[in-house]
Amino acid sequence: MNELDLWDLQQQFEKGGILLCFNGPLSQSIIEELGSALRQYVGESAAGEGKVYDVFSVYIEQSQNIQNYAARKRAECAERTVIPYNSAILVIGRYDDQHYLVASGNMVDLSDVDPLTKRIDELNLLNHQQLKELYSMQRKRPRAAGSATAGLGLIDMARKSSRPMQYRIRKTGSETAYFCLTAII
Amino acid sequence: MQLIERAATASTPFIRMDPSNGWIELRGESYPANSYEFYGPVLDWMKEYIESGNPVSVFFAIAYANTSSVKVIFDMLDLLEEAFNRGQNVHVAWSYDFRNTRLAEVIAEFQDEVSFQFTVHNVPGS
Repeated sequence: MNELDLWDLQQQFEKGGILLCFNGPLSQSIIEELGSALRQYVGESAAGEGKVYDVFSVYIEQSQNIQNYAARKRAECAERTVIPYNSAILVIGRYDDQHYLVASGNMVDLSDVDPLTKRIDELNLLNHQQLKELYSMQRKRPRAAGSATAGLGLIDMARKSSRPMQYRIRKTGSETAYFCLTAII
Repeated sequence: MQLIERAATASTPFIRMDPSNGWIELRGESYPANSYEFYGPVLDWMKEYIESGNPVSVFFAIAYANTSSVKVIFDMLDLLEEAFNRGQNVHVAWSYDFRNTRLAEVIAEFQDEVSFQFTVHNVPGS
């Protein structure tokens, strides 16, 4: 392995406007600590309180979606725990003068990719009012038995995004893929 | 019924539920890893207390709620709405920094769902 050149990495972050980046297994305390740094950085940039709230919540929904997915996978298929579902990359950066970027990447089963991307495509087509109505409908639905999620995370991200959410999928094996999601807030 | 008091953590609020006067307080952040697990006992307590028919007041000072916490809060409001419709005295108040326009929208969506008294209070810096 080549010697790790942190200068290169630093330059890449600098060019990309990246404020924070984490790569590794997620835990609640890591999510809390990164979230606290995010609030500080975004808060200092003279963005309004509402903007800080939006960036923070998209970050929380992305990271908790990954945690919930990992928990579901652990429960479903204990024998396949070799796949690091709980390992993720989380990135928060400045997109331009007015906007922030919140992105995440994690390992998923190939069979889960289509339903997920279909859902995102559908949400991307809805306007603000339609998303609000969908959110309200979804929150009234009884939660699926044993599920830790309300099914509201992606809708909430779409509501807070100022442009369509983007995803990228890279196949990593016969049954797995690396899924990256980017929201601009 | 027992008085319940839980200290706040970085991602969960301070909670106090007093059966002697029907006061429920939730103050702080709300993004636990599993909101249903965390709030399960709170909802159970509320259901049991509401059965007494006594007045109930809920004071929220939640600065941030993730979507699964939002869902739980809607569930709480549904319980309170049912109690109100049965003639019970219900009051909800929410304190927050009015500069947080996004939180204002979230709270307005809560208010839209209920017909009992639901007041908001400006606490700058909260």
